[in-house]
Amino acid sequence: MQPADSPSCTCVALLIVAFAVIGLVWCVVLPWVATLPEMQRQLTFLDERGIDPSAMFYTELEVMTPILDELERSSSQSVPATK
Amino acid sequence: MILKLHDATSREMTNVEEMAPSSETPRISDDWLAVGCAALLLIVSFVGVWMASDWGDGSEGAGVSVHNPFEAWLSKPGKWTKSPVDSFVTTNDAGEKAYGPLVGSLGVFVTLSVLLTLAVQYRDGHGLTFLKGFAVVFVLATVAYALAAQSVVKAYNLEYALWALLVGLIISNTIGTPAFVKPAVRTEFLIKTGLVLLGAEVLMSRLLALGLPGVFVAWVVTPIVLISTYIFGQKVLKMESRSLNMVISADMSVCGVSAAIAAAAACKAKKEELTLAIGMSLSFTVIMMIVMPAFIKAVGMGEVLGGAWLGGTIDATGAVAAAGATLGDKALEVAATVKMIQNILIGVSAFGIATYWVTCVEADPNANRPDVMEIWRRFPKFVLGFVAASVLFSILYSSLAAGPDLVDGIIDGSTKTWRGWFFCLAFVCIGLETSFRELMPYLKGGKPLALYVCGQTLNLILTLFMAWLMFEVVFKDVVN
Repeated sequence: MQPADSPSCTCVALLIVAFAVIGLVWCVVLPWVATLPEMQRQLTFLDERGIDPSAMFYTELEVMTPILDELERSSSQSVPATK
Repeated sequence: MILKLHDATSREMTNVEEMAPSSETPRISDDWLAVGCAALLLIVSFVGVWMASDWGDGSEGAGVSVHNPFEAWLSKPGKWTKSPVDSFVTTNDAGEKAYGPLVGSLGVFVTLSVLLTLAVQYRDGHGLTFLKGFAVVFVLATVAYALAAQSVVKAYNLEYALWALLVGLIISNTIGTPAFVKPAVRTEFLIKTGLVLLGAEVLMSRLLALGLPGVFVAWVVTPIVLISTYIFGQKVLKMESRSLNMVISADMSVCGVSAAIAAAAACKAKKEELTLAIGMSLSFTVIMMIVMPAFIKAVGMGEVLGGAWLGGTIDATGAVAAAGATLGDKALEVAATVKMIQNILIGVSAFGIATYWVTCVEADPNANRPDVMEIWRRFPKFVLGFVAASVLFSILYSSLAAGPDLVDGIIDGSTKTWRGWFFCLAFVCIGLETSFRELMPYLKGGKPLALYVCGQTLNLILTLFMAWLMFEVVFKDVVN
């Protein structure tokens, strides 16, 4: 399934091309996209709220801390029928 | 070539084991080794935080100042926009450079190198062989983290799991995974260790954060969708692979990548199945996090109902928050909290799936039901570590006066970072041992896609109905 221990020139070339494409996209294209006004607005909007859209679990979300604090405060102030 | 995410003591030989240089029987299974490693990290973190913090006079948590001594030494590549160097070296407004992410990543490398080398040495006596390959796997994981940390990539919920898979796949499908790296490709051990650490973040006390409406939306609809989708896949679509069916069902109904990882490990799914499920989940999440808020605004749905609907349906936790925030602060609060409650379901679903698998799926149809000892032998033991960590940390959180500070200090300062690295390393390993050709059969016929679309459609309808019933009818006054 995989190439032999000593990879052929084609395989090495493919590897170089793959990483070159990644380098081009990440170092040129994406930084340029980040400068577009609409994208800048979106990034600022997320930053201001402490939201990381790529968070995998709630503990990775900065915004959860104030939300949980607020929920705790409101539940301790009143005795909600929901609990 | 099959890799199953399962206990080393079970019958099938895994790829990881084939790749490992040892031919003798391991001294300990991957499951128990993972539980041991994770327990050690949790205990070290607990002791470190306990000793470094000021606990005040001990009354009701007053005067408590929690400090995690490992926090400064553990991190991952940070967010960057223009240059990937910014991911490792940050510059403040005064132009001063700080090397926190670089030092933190090196700190993780040192701690994990020592821990895992010793663990592998104990398991099969090949610690040093492991260490040589681990250095390369760690570098690839660092590259994956840096790719995921680009701000535009982050904004579209393209998690590190995707880039870790990509980096590994590029290597394995071009020059091939070098022989000296293969002993460090221990996917199931890394995933299971990460999952036990994740257990500490599953705090049951947060289940009632939104009261009964939140529980109904997240804990009633989700299992219904999970089970219905699984049955639909088996009875209607007649999917050949039960484990793929289950991983997609859990991924789509619970909370995306983290649920997929837990479900895959619990039902011993193949690595290609986990890869496929995650790929589909991330693709649909990007679409849903853009389309759903636009639809909610277009139909004039209220923020609370809209937020609950987003929280119960969009797979990824971060994407839920991003989508909720576009509707408003109230929607963000409800969406993120519903998703958090769903996150907590991971432990229950992993336990349920593991139990179902060992008692029903793996049972010989021609034999009697397996006895207790047989169930115990087959049961993936890491699930017990996961549940134990969850229960223990939930008790610490609720029973101690300064429990929330203590637990948050442990999780935020160290275990969360280690857990993320374990998953990232595991996904690099999956990529390193996967051929594009092996993925192709799973895409034929489009059954996984049909399963996801049908399951998600049911999820959207049921969640909307339950959210409307709970937030707009039954508990309307309380919510208002």
